Amino acid sequence: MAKTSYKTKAKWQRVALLTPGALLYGIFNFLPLLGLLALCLVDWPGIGPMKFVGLDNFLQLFGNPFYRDQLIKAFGQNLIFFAIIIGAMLVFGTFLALLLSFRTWGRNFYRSIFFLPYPLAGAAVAFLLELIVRTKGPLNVLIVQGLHLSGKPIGFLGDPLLALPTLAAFYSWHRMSFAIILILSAIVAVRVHLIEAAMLDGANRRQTLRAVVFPVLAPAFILIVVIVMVDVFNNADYTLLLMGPEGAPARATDIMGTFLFRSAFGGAATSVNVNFGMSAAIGLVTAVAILPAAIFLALRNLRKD
Amino acid sequence: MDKLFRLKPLEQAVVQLILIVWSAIVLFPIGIAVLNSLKPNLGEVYKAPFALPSTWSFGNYSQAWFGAHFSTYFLNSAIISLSCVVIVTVCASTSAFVIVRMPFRGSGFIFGCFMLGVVIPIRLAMAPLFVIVKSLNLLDSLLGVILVQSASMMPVAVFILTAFLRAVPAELEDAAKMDGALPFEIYWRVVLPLVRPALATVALLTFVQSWNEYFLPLIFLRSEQNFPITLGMTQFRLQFDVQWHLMFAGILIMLIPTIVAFLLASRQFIEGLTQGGLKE
Amino acid sequence: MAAITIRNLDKAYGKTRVLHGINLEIADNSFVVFVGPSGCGKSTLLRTIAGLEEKERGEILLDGRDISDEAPVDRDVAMVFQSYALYPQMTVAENIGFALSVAKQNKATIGKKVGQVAELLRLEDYLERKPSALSGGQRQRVAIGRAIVRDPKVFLFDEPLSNLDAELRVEMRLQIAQLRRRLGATFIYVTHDQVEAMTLADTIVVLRMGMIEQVGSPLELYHKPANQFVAGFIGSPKMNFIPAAAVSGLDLKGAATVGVRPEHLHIDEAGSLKGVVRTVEDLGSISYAYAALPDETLVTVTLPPEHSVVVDQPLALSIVPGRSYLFGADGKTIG
Ligand SMILES: Nc1ncnc2c1ncn2[C@@H]1O[C@H](COP(=O)(O)OP(=O)(O)OP(=O)(O)O)[C@@H](O)[C@H]1O
Ligand SMILES: [Mg+2]
Repeated sequence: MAKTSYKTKAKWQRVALLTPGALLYGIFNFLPLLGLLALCLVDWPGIGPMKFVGLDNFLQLFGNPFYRDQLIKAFGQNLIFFAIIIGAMLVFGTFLALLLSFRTWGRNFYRSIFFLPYPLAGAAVAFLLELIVRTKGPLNVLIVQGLHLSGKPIGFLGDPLLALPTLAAFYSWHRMSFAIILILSAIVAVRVHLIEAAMLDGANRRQTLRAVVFPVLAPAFILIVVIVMVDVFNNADYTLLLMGPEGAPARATDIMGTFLFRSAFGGAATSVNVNFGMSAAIGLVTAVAILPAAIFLALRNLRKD
Repeated sequence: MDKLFRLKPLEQAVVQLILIVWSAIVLFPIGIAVLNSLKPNLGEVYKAPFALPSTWSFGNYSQAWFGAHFSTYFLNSAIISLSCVVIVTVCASTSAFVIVRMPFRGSGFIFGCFMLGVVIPIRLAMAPLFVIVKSLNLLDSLLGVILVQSASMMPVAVFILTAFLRAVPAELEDAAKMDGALPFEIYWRVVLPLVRPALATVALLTFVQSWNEYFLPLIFLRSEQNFPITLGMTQFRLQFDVQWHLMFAGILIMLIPTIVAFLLASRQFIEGLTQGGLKE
Repeated sequence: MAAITIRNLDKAYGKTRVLHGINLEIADNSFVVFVGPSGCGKSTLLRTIAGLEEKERGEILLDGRDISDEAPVDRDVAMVFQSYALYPQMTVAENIGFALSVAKQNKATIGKKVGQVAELLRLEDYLERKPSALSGGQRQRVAIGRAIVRDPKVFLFDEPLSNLDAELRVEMRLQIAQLRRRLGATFIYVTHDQVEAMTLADTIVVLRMGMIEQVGSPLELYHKPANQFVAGFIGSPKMNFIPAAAVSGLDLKGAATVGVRPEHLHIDEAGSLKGVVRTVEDLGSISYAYAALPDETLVTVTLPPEHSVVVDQPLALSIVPGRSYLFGADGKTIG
């Protein structure tokens, strides 16, 4: 055809505009998500033929003590990990955001400092903080020689009781500014509309904070809880980097992310129990566990449009 | 309302004290790293971690850089993250443009599929993802990692860009259509210049996230010459674990690009954070 | 030559029907104004002619050629939007020349045509500015320039002046009338403004709920409204509608309602309409009284500047002979 019509061209250009993104996402993100549903039904160590086993992976996961105990431990420790982080973020985050919302000297400067760790790579943060908390590291020097808080150095990451909270502290140090920024923007948003009214009604500062500011913080809190929850139940970078896929010491830092990784790629070079089907099953179970939070997030985002 | 947020001098002092304490907590590890990365030997790090170096040993940085294959890692990271930035900004903006501005039967469904990726992290699907990458023969290649990382960042990017595109008045596009512009021209000449801030946000988020990504390269890369700096750091650590001053120097080298990106565009960064939510 | 014929045009958004069987003849070189209440489908009809909306059924003929399936750019029509829809990132010159650069014309040609248009619209001094640095009236002129440069057979305007203040609106209205004489093209124009409609139009099309109520010249519609809706819509202030039972001394011919324009009610001691004055509005050159008839129908009366009408006083009115309209129960004009 000598002259293709505008409409035909427009149709093809639309296809050409949509396709690259849709293909990229479809092949490397969406398809794998759907693939969970299929792969969880097979037993496959990554090479060789796949064996269809139906729901056996799930039966193993919930019935076989070998897997069940790992699942319970990983999930439980994941909950503790989450609780420490979210507690720290909400308490410190609210407190610091509130202080920054006042007419504090240098509040923009402080805000920049507080935000500094956020863009840093998880791997760098993990290695950096690990160096800091080693038994011969600066923090222990400070505790033992500087402040005399303890007679001997504390093995933060070596102690099975302390290791998980220490990792949670790393996470909180890294991500705290996320909470501060979200809460701060909620406070700033409310101040324009509501606070004036409350002040006109003669409320004093404490009453205003309680009656006006805290209620509007609820959405920010929920958002933080949901996002952190989705993140810590799939992301185990700190543990993988510092404690390995076995969640040393003695699986005291094992969480869902490490369990999932181990089930597909093995904990050590000698692992025998690798099964991509099991990994998919664990992924699916985790997805279902965080799905309510995730759906909540999606609905909130869509409503915003 | 001013009254509420103004502080009396005593209050100001207390607030300053608390903020300084938190600043110290934030800066402590970074400061220690800077200080000790300049010390001539391990002994000084052990004995007096808070003291200034006896001699300022800037050579530690070059030793770290050349010691492990740092330059290779660094280059790989640069290739991966810059490719991701280009791929994600182009693909996400074109897809978002079609979804928002040229809807058709099924475009809502496609948008829904993207939103699934916003809510379910790709890590949970690492097993099927591995199968797909393997079957495409992309294991242990930079291209494979680039495609996987780009795809993992598509959903949030599409989400941010659709929100922005919806705010562009539809009459502008009607006018362009009357003027005879085809979708490519409308996208490139009319719409894209108007969503530049969102594009900058997406580019920045993508850069930082792909520079920092550890998990996906860990799964898909085997040979050391392909390692990005996050994996390289693990190698580096095997080699220099006991030489703390070099460890600190290496870690700081790794942080430089993200800190620079952050300093250049902290405003977009914070905006992107409150818009797109945390996904690294 | 640019005569438009619209035949049996239907349009729906999903399940809601917006245009119902529109039939319309628009003569070459005429100025047609669409009026009607908000939501009646004026913009939709205009956008369907432009090609921005797909028709559902029917034909749109431009000089005998069915354009209803063509792309907007191929239709020889240009449109000026209510929000102006100027491209914010481009200069005035780039805005005006955009259609030409899309059509891959060379730089010199574009520059020449843009220059001509700018001269016509007195925009020469602003060519390098961005739209954000222009006043409302200037932006409006750029929007018109963008339409002119394509040299279309038909210009479509969707409430082009509604974002301007009253004074500028008058000025732009005169400019559009002048432009139309210079350009010799067919104009189709949507407005809410009675004065714009009456002064600019050769033909007014009154729409209601996606249907054409009446087509005619401004004075035709004013003097011979086809039905009660058109009678109430054309003319300002609105025509009074009085239940036939309240009127005496007229041959009602079975009408349900009698319509009288405010300017055709006179104060007359012997008048058959008796009411009580509720409000008086003095505008200087003219005054209006609002009187309630015994059955509480409120009628508007035009008064001369010097009048002695007082609120709460009784008022007797008579209808200027031959100036009443009779409407049947179905709203159609009788006789
Ligand atoms: N994109 C759309 N989707 C669904 N319904 C629409 C759409 N655009 C318009 N409508 C509906 O079509 C009807 C006609 O709309 P249109 O914009 O043509 O009215 P209008 O006469 O121009 O009104 P106004 O004087 O307020 O501009 C309205 O009821 C409107 O709600
Ligand atoms: Mg309209």
